[in-house]
Amino acid sequence: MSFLAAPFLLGVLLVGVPLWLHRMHRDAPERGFSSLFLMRAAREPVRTDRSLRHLVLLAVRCAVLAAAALAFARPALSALGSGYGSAADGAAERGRPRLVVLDRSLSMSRPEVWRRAVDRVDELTDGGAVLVAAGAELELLDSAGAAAPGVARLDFDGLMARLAALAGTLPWAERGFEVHVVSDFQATAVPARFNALIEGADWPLVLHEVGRDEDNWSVESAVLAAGEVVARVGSFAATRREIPVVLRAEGTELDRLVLETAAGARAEARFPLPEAVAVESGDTGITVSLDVEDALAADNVRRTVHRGPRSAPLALVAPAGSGPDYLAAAVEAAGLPFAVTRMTANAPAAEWPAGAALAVLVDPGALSGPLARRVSRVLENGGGVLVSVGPRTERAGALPLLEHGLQRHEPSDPGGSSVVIEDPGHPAAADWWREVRVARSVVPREAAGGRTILALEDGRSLLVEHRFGTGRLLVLHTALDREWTSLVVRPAFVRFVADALGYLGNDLGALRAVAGEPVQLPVASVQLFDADGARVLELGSTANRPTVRFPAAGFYSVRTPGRRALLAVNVDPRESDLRPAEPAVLARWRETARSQEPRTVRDPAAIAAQAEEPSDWPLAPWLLGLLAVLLLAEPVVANLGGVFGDVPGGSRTVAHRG
Amino acid sequence: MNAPGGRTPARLIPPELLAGLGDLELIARAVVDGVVNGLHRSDMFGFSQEFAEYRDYVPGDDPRFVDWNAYARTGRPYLKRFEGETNTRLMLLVDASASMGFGERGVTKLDYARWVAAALAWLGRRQHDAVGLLAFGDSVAAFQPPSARAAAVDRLFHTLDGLRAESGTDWSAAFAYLSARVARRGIVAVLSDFYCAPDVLGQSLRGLGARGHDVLLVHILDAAERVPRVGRGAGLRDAETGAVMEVDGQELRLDYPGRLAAHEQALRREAAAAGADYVRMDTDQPLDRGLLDYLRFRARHP
Repeated sequence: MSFLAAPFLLGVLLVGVPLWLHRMHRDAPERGFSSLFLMRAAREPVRTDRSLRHLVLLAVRCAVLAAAALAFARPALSALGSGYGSAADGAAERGRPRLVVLDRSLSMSRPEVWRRAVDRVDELTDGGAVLVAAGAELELLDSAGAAAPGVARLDFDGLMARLAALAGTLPWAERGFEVHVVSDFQATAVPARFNALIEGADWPLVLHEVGRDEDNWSVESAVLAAGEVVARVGSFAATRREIPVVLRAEGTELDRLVLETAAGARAEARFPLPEAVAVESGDTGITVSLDVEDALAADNVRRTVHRGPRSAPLALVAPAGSGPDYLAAAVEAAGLPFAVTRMTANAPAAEWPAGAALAVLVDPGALSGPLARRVSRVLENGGGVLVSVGPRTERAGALPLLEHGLQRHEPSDPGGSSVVIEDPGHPAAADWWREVRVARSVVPREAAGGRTILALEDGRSLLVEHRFGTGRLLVLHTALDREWTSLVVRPAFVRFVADALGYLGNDLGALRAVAGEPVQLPVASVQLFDADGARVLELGSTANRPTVRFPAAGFYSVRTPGRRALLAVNVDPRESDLRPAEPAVLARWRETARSQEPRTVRDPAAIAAQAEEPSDWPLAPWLLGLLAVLLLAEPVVANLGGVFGDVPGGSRTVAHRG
Repeated sequence: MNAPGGRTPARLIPPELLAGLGDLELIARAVVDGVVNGLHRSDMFGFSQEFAEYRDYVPGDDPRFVDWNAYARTGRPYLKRFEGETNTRLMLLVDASASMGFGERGVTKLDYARWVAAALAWLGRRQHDAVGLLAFGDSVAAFQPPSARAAAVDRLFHTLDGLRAESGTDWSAAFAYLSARVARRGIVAVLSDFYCAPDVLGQSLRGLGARGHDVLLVHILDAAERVPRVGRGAGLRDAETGAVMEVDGQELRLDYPGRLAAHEQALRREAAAAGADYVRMDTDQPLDRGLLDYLRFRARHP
């Protein structure tokens, strides 16, 4: 604590006045009287109460004088940031908890930057503080030594709001605290909307900048297109440089070229895809890497997957002579990698395509028993089945795989009912469904369970997902017939078929995953292994579209019933740009934060310079507020029970003895 | 407001001024002379030394009062008698207990009592009365048998001057002591604050009355005792016993005057029952009123 107007502190001596008066009063606690012969004791003894009240009154009056003197003395707390040691000591003296946020994004993995950050955190947490590692998510740590630079990206957009949510769970949150952010403050991490930096920040904020601009190059993308691999290389260097670029497949170098990169520019490297890879039926891991030593090594490699031509078996079971084969046309139009095997509802089970874990049942009201059992086994083994009802199902009044009964349903509107999306997050649900009209349907007679994804206006189910173990059954309660619904004549029908079969068939499609970032797999019942064969995700955790956070960049093997796919996980290319945020932005952040005088602390030289100019957090407003409260409280306490009648100044007696 | 006798208050001597005089005889003379001079101009008959009659001299009479002019004319010794002069015996009982040491504005009740006693003694000396003194607390502090000698009055003044307010109060012991040593009837003036049970006091008074004494109770109170001014929850310490009692100032202001008045009424009743008179004197009042009350009392008890 420092005092800018020390002479005013002499005013504190005024507290001696009430103390003196109080002592004078205490010198005559009892009065002599000639005789108590005619006296009567007070009905309610009040001396003890009065003494306590006098003490309270004395304390209030002393506090009034002290608060007034201190307020005009302009005491201030030294703000943090004037050197790490003093910052820790200051906070410890004040007892204000400290929340230290350590940026452990990919850009912080530079050894020198990370070492400085850890040193800074050690100093800030000396004497106790809560340490939070910030990447794609916030994580409480015991010490900086337990932290390691991550592979994810830290975006300051909304960071304060996330911190507020985290701090709200801490026991000392109500006492108020100050937040220290130790980061390299990349420009790419600062949101374009400035308010996103400060929303939720209602605490003193101190920025500790430990990074610096360094030359760096990265492969920002690698795309397979038209028989070649196109890699885009970004330069975040101050100089032009020729960099060797290498193409590898499954770890084997296939090609190499030298790419000239201009300062701060981007360049493309194109490699023809070797025929041996192009004709490979399975997935092939392709990497494009830079042969260069720069600030960040992790972003010098970009991974992608070449998926060879293949087709998974799909059983399409439809009654003979059931009209236009909209479904088969849609499967073909969607370009799905499925080999469709057509079957009739009463076909022998032996015709079931080998290894088929995906089936489409069109109007299965007349499905034979053997086929029904086969479909049931597919589901039990984690497969997927898409069912659409029809006239036969309506006549049967039930679906072979479900126990509940069905009944015909026609909406009151002759033009049909519109569709209501009950589960917008489902892959088979899309906004275009709102344009579809349903004139006829076959719906459950009673509550049939399952998860309703789409419904009619009157609440009747239209698309329902039922679970059979790890298998999924998707039931469309209308027929793929233009007399029943407008769905089949709309272009969106192909989208529906692609979405539904992709979902049921566990197709990874064009899934892109970024290291450290959460990604929801579009499949269920999946096993996930890293490049070393270590299990990343347990099977039991994948019953329903699991969200996965890949711990590192690399190739991962995704195994679903009947399929095995390769997934490329890369680092976020925005981490490659190591340029710090504009000082003006940080200054504005500093000024706008609720901190009285937050500051950005830079590297040792800057720290030493700032140590010479300590900033203060004035206490005078708080003291004035306290003074106002005390001034209100003093007469209240003083008038309780007529204290003034008891204080010195009343009649004194003279007793002569001897 | 005029004082008794038509005198103006400006002629009275306030107690505070008397306290500054110090000499008890001077105080007594100042008070008595003022009262007596005032009486010469008043319509109160019998309180001056005006000639009333002659009577025959009998052995034992003070020869200083023989009218030698009449003796020269008649050859017989006659004594000259004056109105208001009956040559009685005045016994002053002064309460010197600790409670009498109480007083505001520098005048204690004991101070006031000794001034009254001195004034009465001086008045008795002027009227050739024998004056005695008994000062007591929880025991007899001083005793001087009644005497009409001037030296006795001087000694009485000296004794009064040396009294100190201390100890408690034992009325029965004081009255028993008096009864044992003063057998002849006379006037007994009791100066006290009378913080005692009226019935107990009444028994002692009746004992004195039975012996033929004419008793005058002079109740001396300080102004602060009439309406004690203390705060809420004040602690009061008894001057005699040292006991401390927590009182409520508000309750006191409401109740205490009534209790004091009831106590005074009880004292009056006991005094009347014992054939005694009761006079209330406050330490903030001039002593004249007390003296006049005494003279009236004495006129009724020649």
